[in-house]
Amino acid sequence: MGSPVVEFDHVTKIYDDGTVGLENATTAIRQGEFVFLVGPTGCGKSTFIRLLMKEFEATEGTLMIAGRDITKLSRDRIPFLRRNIGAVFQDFKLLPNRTVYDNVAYSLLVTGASRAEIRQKVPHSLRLVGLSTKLHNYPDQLSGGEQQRVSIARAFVNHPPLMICDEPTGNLDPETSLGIMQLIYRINRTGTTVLVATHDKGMVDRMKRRVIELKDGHLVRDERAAGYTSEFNAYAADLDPTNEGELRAS
Amino acid sequence: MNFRFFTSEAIRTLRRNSAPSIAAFLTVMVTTLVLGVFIPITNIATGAANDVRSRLLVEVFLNDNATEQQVAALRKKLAANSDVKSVTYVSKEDALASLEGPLEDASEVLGSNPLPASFQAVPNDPDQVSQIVASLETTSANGEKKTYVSPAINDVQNREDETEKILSITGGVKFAMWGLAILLVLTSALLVGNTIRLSIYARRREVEVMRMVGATNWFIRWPFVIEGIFVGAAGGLVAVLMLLIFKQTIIDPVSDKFALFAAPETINFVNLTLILMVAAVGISAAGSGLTLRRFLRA
Repeated sequence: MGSPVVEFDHVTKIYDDGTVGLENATTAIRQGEFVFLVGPTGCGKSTFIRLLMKEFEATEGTLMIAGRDITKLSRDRIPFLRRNIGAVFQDFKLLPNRTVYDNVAYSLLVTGASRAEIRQKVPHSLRLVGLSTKLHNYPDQLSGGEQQRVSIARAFVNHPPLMICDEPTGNLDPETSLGIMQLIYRINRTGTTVLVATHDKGMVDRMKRRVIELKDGHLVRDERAAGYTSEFNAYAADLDPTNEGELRAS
Repeated sequence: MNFRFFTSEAIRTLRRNSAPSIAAFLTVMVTTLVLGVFIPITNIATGAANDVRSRLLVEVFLNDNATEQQVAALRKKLAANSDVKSVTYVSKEDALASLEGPLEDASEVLGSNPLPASFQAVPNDPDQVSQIVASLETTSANGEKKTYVSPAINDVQNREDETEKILSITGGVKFAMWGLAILLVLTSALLVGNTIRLSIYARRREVEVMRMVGATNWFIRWPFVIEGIFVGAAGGLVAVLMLLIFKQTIIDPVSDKFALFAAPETINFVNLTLILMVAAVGISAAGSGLTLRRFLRA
């Protein structure tokens, strides 16, 4: 295991309306790791991810990315932080008025990349996700799975040290989801640290990776090679099978 | 800064997502057109008002028996007054010569020239007429009885009633015109601003995505500003062309017949075009850049 890419040190986020997003979270993600972030809706997954993207400030604690304290990062440096984080979202977040090629090229353009560099890297990244034939289509001409592949190609084209996926398969059918997860896994194999927030229980169980579980803003579990359901939940479910439905629903 | 890239980005948006831009274009065009008609109208109205005001003057009638020294001293005094722009001497003969019509033969009938000589003092500012009159009068300690500062003065007239009427009416016209102008410019700016705001609001998701992949604020903003320049220039240009056609087909043929249109202070068309184009492009570009600010906050 390499050096930590992400370090949360007693991080607390309380929103302006008093809602607790994350409370006293301490954890570290090392270089090259594949980490699932699980928990019910409203548990703090989004807060966790948005803190990493520095969409807002932590109320307390320090948050380091690649050894740098991003809570001390000035506002005009935020774009440079984001260029080092490949982000994939449930709703794809593609630019509607650009072709597949231009969508991927945009994240290189913002860094001031040369045209030669763009011409070389964009097709390569799109080949990796299996979309070489749809370079000149617009997002609304693609299926959900294809759109998500474009967004992964865009996230990966800069070869960021960290990739964050927020419910990447949330809008996709199980078969397509599997393809997307395999793609993310392959990217992880190239050495990119990957953090995946998900509700997809089956996927987490099958992949046997490190799992960080959040509940009501608290970090309640952090295990390697684990499944979705926590030991306590599994234990409780074993004792009383009728509980399982409730726990899943929560 | 990669200017070519930002320009091509702006053109891409105009082509792919033209509906909001067309709305902004039409708004700019209509407001520019309205301003283009209103500016000359304001100009003509205030010009005419100023023309009327400039005719106001103070007439100082002299006694027939005033000595030359007294007259010369009075002339000096008037000329030294800082409110007075110019002083003209009208002799008895000049006054008589200026009479026309049935009064022309008055001296023959009367056997002598009944008209007094006078000074005509033109004020720097028409509003100062009464100050000039006041400077020629002295009021005795017990009030009421007015005397004049020079024995040569027989009477001082500024056609008081007319003066006050003219001043208040022309003042009112100018004030109303300025008020309307300010209101119109403000309305135009708000209208254009709001249209731009809507067109950017429709694309806020796009801005969000751009920020997410690490675009700096100016990298996002420049294409919007350039697009604003294009839209403003197009709207302004079409409006100016319409004004030009309007001017050449309707105004110019009849302008000889109406003195109003020939008022000397009417703005010339080149200046009007310049003002309108700068305003259209400026408001449109600045509007785009400023509205974006809301969506660029972290």
